[in-house]
Amino acid sequence: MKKTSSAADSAKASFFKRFMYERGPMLDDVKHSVYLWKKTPLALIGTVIIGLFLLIALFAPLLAPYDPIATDLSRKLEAPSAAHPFGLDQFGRDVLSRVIMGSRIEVQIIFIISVISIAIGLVVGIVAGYFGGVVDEILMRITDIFLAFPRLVLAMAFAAALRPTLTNAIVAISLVEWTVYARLARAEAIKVRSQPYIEAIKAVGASDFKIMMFHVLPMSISPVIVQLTMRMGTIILTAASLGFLGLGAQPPLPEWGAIVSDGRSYLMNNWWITAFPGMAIAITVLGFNLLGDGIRDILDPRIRR
Amino acid sequence: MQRRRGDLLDVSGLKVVFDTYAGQVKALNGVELWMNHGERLGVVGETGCGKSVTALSVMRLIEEPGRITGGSILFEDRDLVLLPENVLNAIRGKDIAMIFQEPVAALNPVMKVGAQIVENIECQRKSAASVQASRKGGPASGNRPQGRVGVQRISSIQIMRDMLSHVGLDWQRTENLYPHELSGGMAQRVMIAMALSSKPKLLIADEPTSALDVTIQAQILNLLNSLVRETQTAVLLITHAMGVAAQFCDFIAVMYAGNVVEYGSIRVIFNNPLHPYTKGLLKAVPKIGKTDELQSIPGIVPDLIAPPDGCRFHPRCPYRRPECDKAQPRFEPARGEAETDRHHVACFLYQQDQ
Amino acid sequence: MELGSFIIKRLSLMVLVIFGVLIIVFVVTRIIPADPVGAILGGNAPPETVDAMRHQLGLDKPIFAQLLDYLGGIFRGNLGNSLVSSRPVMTDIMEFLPATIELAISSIIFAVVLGIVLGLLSAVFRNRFIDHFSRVFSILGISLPGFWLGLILILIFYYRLGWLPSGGQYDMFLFPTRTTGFILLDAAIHGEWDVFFNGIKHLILPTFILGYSSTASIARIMRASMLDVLHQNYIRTARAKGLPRKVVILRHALKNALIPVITIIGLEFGGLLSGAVLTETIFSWPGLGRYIVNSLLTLDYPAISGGTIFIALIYSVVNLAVDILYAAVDPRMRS
Repeated sequence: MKKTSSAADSAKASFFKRFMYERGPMLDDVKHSVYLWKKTPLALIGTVIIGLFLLIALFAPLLAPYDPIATDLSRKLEAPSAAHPFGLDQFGRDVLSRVIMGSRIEVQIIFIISVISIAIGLVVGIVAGYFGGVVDEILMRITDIFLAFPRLVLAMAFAAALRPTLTNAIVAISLVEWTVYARLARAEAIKVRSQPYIEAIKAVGASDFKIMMFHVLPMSISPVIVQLTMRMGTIILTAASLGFLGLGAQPPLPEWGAIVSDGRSYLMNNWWITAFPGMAIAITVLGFNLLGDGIRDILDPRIRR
Repeated sequence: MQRRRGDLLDVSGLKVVFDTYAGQVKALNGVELWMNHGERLGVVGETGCGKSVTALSVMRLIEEPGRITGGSILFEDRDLVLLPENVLNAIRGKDIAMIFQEPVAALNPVMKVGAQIVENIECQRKSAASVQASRKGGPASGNRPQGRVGVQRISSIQIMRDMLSHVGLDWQRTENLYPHELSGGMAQRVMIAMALSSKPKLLIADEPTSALDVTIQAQILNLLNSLVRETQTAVLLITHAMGVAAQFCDFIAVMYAGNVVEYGSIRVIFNNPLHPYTKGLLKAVPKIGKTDELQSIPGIVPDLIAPPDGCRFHPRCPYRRPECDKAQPRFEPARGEAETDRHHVACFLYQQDQ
Repeated sequence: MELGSFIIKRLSLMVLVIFGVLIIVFVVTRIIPADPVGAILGGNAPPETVDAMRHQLGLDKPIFAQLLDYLGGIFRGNLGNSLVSSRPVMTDIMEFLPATIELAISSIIFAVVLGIVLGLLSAVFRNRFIDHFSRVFSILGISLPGFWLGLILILIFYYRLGWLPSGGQYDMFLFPTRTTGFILLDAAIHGEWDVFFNGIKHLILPTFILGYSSTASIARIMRASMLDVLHQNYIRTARAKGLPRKVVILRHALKNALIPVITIIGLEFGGLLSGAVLTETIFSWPGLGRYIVNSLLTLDYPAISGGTIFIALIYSVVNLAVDILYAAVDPRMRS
């Protein structure tokens, strides 16, 4: 009895030892990354900002002191006060509540755009890179055509053609954003395609679809995700710009860019309607950019040394 | 301060560290070597023993995160460790020139090679002029006749072309090429032309042939040999190949883990090696006509972040003694050798007071 | 490969891409919109009016015929008539284009000069005050929404301080003589210096707002590229020649460090044209960007298509120029 348990213990111990030995370099890598993370205070600040942003979005209904769309014309354009720290807008709505509730819209925008644009980008990029030749040529020329437009201009055209709503703005931005990931995924697919083990898998009779699904896709996804974290700031800015121009979220939705636009006519005397939602955009984008910079630095082999 | 041992270069107690994420790398741990005008000194040792760091230190080209933490580098009558940057710049390129391991990467990719050589010639002329002027006590450009600069430029171009022909290149074809259009051997010839264009007193050659094809290696080495013989230029040759050092040098300094463990003339190093590491190295060199198996030195080069206590070679040393991990052995003259062989060794087996 | 054949190859690629651009614009303005006529006339228009309108716009023809009409028109330089102003779209664009070009040029010069200088200083004096300053300035530049910052600056410099105008290209009481359409150029030609300096004053805030994020991107790339170059072997060679630090940096490092920056400048120009849409809206700048926004909001399809095509065309030409510049600077690209 005792003997077996000790044998099991030693087996366990040896498993642990073996695990530590085999995974040692990987663990070191993770430790090193954490170390670098701590050493880059800006990345840490970015992480905190984004953490707060997500928490605010999650608990927005609890945090918002007032109804973000309830109007009270008798108190319109009231300056910031203890009860309304960000003041009231032209319809007497509480700007703070609108900014807090707006964070949910921004999270929604980022999430959906990320999913759609990465999906399109991965499919186009992997197919182009894996098959190469004419397929690659055609898909990449299509990508070039999308890249021939300044992003915002093309997104605006899509949004307007689809009728300006929040959903359509999201679709429009996704239709512009995918090119970034397509190029990355293509480069990765080309790398994987030329690996000897792909030849071996082919020889065993795996279909192209299976190879792309189970071998190319997993390799392509991590550079794409890294790139995505670096582009999230830009995505928010683009969405807010569409909202500001009236080509995105429509009133009374408290999308931050749209609120800035609301405040524009009252800028001279009622600066708070413009200033606070814009600041929210700025801080969130800053958070994403700091985080993206941090991730880039941590993955940079020159800095890892 | 001890007596100056070489009238050209005398490095003593040189210490260099690199601050890295993993800790402080103690790359040089008191390097000792010296040479007279016109001599050729080979620095040999395994990869990572600090040969290149030594070479770069002599040029004071150690960059962040590395720094010199102790010792002196006497060049003629001045200690290079203490000189300010602007004085060093008058020595770099002019008195001490350097060629590197990867010649193509050592040339500026967006500048024609001819222009890069001319730049060196002009730079040395300028610093010579300013040195002269400062000796006379007047400004460098004070009494320069009109049009001199243009004339000088033309003569610099002429020197560049002569140098290119001198290193066996066709200047008409070469001077307007960019570095990426050169082969490794051609690029090293260009580097040699550049380095020797200013007639330096000391040429530091940091593994000049290691990155080249074997057939090209011999060519470059022969070229270097004939050029420095002609001009009586002293050479500090950094190499990991004992054979190259034997062929080329008058003296050899054997380095191990940041120390010079043995120093002396070619004759004593090859015929009467004292340090166990030197002995090991020589056994690892293949010799024509001998068929006995090559021996490698057991063990690996130590981690310089946490180097072994005492003699850094002791964990690998077959003749290890109790005192070896207690203290660092002194670098002392070996007994019973001719003064001209300058035989020195750092090993407890030969410490005189024990 | 010689520069000439490189340019020809690049040019033929551009022709292909421009054709694709035309197709996308066609799809966006003619196929995606469910009911363009309804959007123009409003929901309650009588069916006869709608049909007449459809016929007038050629929307009753099959899609393929519409595409041919559209492409044919474009190749003849005819972009159709604006539904709002009823003038030819080409005329409108030619009127609005100079203002955009003026603003874009002044912004890109601002961005390139300041970005390169900041990035260079940042790398050379790494971890010193100028580096910290430049990095904070840059991260804010890519994070602050330009449309918001523009409004805040108007609030400060126009409403509060009264130092700078709030928008437009020149003050309303001025009546500049127009020849080329470029305000500053015309003013200089005709010696109308009051207009010239007034124009400069109007240019300051828009240039900063439009150029800021590009400045930031360029400074960041320049810093990274310079740090990379400073660790290259040839920099060590240059130092080994005994060249003073200033010469090593300016003669050896700078040109190599600029190579990646040049590519970024091309890409930044796209961001600049996107930004122009917002900047022109905020500063009431009579340029192509504002024209496009207005036509998008009024669903003036011929104007949308014309404006978008023009913006894409400008962007493609700039990128072509940048690629050629790139090949000219980097000898390795030519072979």
